[in-house]
Amino acid sequence: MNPATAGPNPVAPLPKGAPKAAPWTPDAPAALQVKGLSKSYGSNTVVCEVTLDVRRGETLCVIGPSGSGKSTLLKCLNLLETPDCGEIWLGETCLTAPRADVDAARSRIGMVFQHFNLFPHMSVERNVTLGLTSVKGMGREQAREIARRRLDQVGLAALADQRPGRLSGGQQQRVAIARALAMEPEVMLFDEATSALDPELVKDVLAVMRDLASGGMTMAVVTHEMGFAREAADRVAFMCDSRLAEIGTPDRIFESAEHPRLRQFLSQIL
Amino acid sequence: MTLSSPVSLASNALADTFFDWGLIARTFPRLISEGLLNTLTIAAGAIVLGVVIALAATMLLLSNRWWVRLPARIYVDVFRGLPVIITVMLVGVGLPAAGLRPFGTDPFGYAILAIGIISGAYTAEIFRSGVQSVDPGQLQAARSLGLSYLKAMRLVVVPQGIRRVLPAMAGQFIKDIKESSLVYLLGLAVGQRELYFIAQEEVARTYNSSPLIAAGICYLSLTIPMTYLVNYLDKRLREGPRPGNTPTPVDPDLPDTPLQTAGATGREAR
Repeated sequence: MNPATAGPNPVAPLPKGAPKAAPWTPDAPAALQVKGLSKSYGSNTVVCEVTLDVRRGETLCVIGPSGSGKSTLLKCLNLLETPDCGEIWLGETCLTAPRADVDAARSRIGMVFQHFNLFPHMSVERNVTLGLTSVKGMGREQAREIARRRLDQVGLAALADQRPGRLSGGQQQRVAIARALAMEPEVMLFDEATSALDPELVKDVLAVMRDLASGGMTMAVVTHEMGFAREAADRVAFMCDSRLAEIGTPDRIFESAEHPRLRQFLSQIL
Repeated sequence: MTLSSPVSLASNALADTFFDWGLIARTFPRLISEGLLNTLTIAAGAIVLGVVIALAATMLLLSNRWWVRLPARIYVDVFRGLPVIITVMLVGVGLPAAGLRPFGTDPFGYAILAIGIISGAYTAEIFRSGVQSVDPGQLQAARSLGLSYLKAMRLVVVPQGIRRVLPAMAGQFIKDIKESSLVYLLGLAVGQRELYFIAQEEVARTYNSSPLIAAGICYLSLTIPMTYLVNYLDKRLREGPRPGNTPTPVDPDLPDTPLQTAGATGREAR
């Protein structure tokens, strides 16, 4: 079989309830902490006093209606958006400290975007090696080796020499995941990674994300895929009106939600 | 209509004055052996200088700080607004008169400087529009890998912006080649004379304007191939390498036709 035509190779969807390689425990140390984070655009408050943490090995899904501030919150976590106030801690590093090395911190946080944002003027492989050579100072050969490995992980090693424009959306998103993974991040952020995909292409991207989650990667996932949140998340956070309204295990959020807006939201989409 | 009608007389006068093919043929050797090379040198020097100035000016024009943009904006507005002939005189005559003689008394250097300064002003605006047309997600994706702002601009945003404006740049390069004719005003020395200067000398010597047509043919022999070369480059850069080893799209997840030039934003691009 042509590997390029295969689905994501070693990341076939896990059966529901499959055990994790590195199970998350509630008392695991926090990989990412957010304290009292707020962000406004002029008089429009988009994120209001959000406090939460993502524990090591945890998959935290953030759900909520459109415009509730989920994506902005995620972009604040690696300072692509500058918060107005609050603190963000990556392990022992305070990213919001006045003299924090933001570029160095970002290289420790992988991010996958809704619209993939691959670099169209570079090959798939160069997309993956760019951060390794230009940020980590790695040699071209070593970077290529890592890129091939990561592309293989998402089932796309055979397309390494292609331009992103020749790939389908699902493949592009998997390349974007490989690009982020190549940096060996401590935390992965997914910003509605499947929202721009046709339904039949969503499954391969979700399969890769499930595989990462089961492999113990720390992940914060903004998503509208309730099936994924229910199945793969350790905790689910619900945002509405720019605030973190409720957070808990998938069972609690989906089966016995307390917040009336969350119950209303779930009744509309489930 | 008889041969002595006014239209016929005018037609004969035009042919005699501009289309004396014998004179045109006699002018070609000097145009090709001396003028073509000098025109190419002035144009190539001005284009290289213009691109370097334009890249620096573009970075300034894209700044968020008004006082950083201001000098670049003044430069662009002044040298785009001034007639070329005035700038050539200002640089070629004005600079030496003011005691600034970076090229001594050699008019060749001033000629390249004058055309380069004008070219830089136009090219800066072309670059700026190209860079600003790049999806902001590209910068975000590059920064999320840990690239500094300057690296992200240099490696990701600016190359894409420039590729988008290649056809406009071809127009600018053609303009530079044509405007190199204006440096005849600076009184080029023997051996430095470009196409138009030589043609003018022949016109003065023979009292016939046909050498101008010979020079025009030489200009076209430079500008028309350049147009097609840049269009070819533009096409190759948009489409990437020839799809010689593109995997057969038998999988529904692969695109049927290789297209979609850049960005890959929005929904599935297949």
